This record gives sequence, structure tokens and C-alpha cells, in this order.
Amino acid sequence: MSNYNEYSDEHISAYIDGELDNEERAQLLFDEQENPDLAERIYDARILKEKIQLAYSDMSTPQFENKSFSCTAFVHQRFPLVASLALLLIAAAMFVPTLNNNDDLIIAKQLIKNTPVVTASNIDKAIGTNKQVILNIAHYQPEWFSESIDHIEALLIKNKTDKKFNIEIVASSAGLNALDADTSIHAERLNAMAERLDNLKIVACAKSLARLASEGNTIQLLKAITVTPSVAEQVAKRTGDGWLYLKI
Amino acid sequence: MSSFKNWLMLSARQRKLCKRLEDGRSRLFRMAYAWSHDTDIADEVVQMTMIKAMNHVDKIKDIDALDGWLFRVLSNCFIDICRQKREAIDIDDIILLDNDTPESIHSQNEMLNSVRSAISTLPFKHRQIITLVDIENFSYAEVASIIDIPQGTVMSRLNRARKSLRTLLNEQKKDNEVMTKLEVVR
Repeated sequence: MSNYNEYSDEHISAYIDGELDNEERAQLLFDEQENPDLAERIYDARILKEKIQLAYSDMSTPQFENKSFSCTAFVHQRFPLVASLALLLIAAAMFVPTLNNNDDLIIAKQLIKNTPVVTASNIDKAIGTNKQVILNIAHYQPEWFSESIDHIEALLIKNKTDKKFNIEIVASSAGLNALDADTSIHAERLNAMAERLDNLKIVACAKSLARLASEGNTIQLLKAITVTPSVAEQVAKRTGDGWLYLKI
Repeated sequence: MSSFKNWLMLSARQRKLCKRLEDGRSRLFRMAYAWSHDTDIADEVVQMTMIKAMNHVDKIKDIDALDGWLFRVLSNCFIDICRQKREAIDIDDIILLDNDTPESIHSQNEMLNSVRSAISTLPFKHRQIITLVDIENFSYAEVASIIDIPQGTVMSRLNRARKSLRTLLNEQKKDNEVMTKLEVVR
């Protein structure tokens, strides 16, 4: 190009963004060396691009606050019962046939590990048009749990007549605190919901219950709460069947 | 190929996809922050994006196309969330509040603050395109696919965005020079 002013800003942008072909690049490189004004335009464009890159280079993802698990439900006078329950649950977890270490289980473990927690106000949006949803209680924080349960209950009631609409709430580790009849302010409500609503199932993880019981922390489950050998396997099974996985 | 071998390949591929999603999270956050300049909104957008991505990880056919797809999901989630938060305002007309004061611009990160401040005042469609190209180094074709516009529009919009940004930075520079002179006079 003989007239350097013929280079448009779009052309210079394309040059610094690596969008020109070899022939165009070679021509511009040659002209850049011949003409200081053109070189300055290219330099300015490069500097601007680098400034933008630098401006956001130190942004990192905020870490979700992980509430450390603390179960204070150990009751001395119930020790024999706790010990028996621990043995029973360990046995159940060991002898119930488990899924093979297949893709679904790998994906499920990744889902459980990496899926961020959905805030109460986003539950409806996250569920969207999905009709089969498995909700994992990751941590029990009573102050926001009520709102989450309100949204879930409203959705269940709204879709009561739709037989395809099902929600399964699963709890393991710290999430089991939500189901503990001794300590959770929501245990009764969750139990009542599971009894009343056909499209809701609430499931506790046997492995976590056994582990907690062996540590002297017992979780008192109410009667409408069922137990599954492993939440990871339950998530694998459900997501394998096309259910949506969310963490609350 | 035996079904066992198929299984092994699928498993490795899916593991790789999950790892890529996990690694991509901080890039998504950086982009969502560059669009919103609000850590809460950025966090919410990334949250929604990751949920969608993790739930569709087994449906992704081409690993090489994962990046473009992820940022497309991010863009859609961002627009959805902004629409919900500012129902009555057209997404293209959103101008972020500029909280930077002259004092904060004179901080140790003066230049970077100025750039962020200038980007925050660009209309969303300009902010989005300039950050996708300059921060994530997406090609024009990839950006066209992410925000679903023709490649020619990417070029012209990017050019307008850079021109506006340059003007804003020059204005900021002049303002700062005036402020410095005033301080010297005082």
C-alpha cells in the first residue's frame, strides 16, 4: 500500500489482533518501518490492547465460604444406640451393591466438587424448564435455608399435577445438619414436605451418617427421610437418567 | 474398536472436559467482572454458567470448541441476569456507575484504574467485544459465534469500542493534568 493513510483503523486492529493473512501482515510490517506516523498508530493500538489485558490480569475467582462442619448432637446417654446405628449403617454402606467406577460416577463426583452453590433467589432460574432435579444440600446455614426451601416448596406445589416433575433433595456431610431433628430448625418442615408432596423425595447419605456416628455425632432423621448408600452414586444415577444437578 | 476401548476413551475425554471447565472458572469470572465491574454480579453469572456447563459436560462433542461455547453460555447468562436486575433498561444502554474518584485514580494503580474506569463507562456491547478480544484473545470468528453477530459487525464494533476507549482515556488524562496543575497552584 503506497499511501499509508489508506490503512483504516479496522485494518490496524486486525493486524494487532493477528487477523491478517501473511501477505497483508508482511505489507503492513514493511510500511510500518517506512512510515513513523503509521508506526505510531500501530504502537498506540498495541499499547491500548496491553493496557486492557493488564487491567484485568489480577482478577481471580472469589472462593465460596465453606462453613466448617460441626455436629454437636452427640448425646452421652444414647451411646449404645449411636454405636449400634454406626455399625448398622457401615454394614449397609458396605454390602449394598455399588455402581462401578464408571463415567457417571466420575462426572457426579466432579459435579459435587465443582458445581457452585445456587443462592435461594436463583433456584427458580437455575431449574428453568427442567422437570427432574436433584438438589444437593452442601452446607446448612439456617439463615438462608428457609428462603431456599420456600422456593422449592412453591415450585413443587405449582407442579403438583405434573407427574413428570420431581425433585430429590440429597444430603451428605455438612448438609446432613439440615435434616437433624435434634438441631435443625428445618427438619420438621422438610419431613412434612416429604410426607405431603408426592413429587418430593428427601434422601440422606448412609456413608456420611455412618462416619458421623462413628465419630460420636449422630444425626436424628425423621420418618419421611430415606437413606441411600452413597450420595455420589445417587447423583450419578440421577444425572445419568438426565436429571439436573444443583447444589443449594 | 472394542466397546471397552471406547469406554476408556470416553472416560479420559470426560475427565479432560471436567478439568477444563474447572480451570476455566477464573477466566470466566475475570470476563464477567470486566463486563459488570461488580463482583456479586460476576459471581452470580459464573455460578449460572458453571451450573449449565457442568450439567451439559457429557454432551460436548468437540473439546476444542469448549472455550467458545463456555463464553457463549457466559454471555447469555450475563444478559439474562442483567435483564432481570434492570428490567426496564436495554442491555446495550447499560452504562455502569463509575465509582472512581480523582483521588482513587491517583492511587498506585493509576493507569490500570483509569483503564478499568474508562471500560466501565463504555456501552455493554462495546465493553463485551473489547474484553473478549483483548483479554481472552478470541479471534473475530470466535467472538462472532459467542455473541451471535456477523464477523463484519465484530470488526466495526471493536473499532468503535477502541476509538471510544482511546477518547475516554485521553479525556481522563487531560482531567488529571488539570487536577495536578490546580494542586500545584494551591
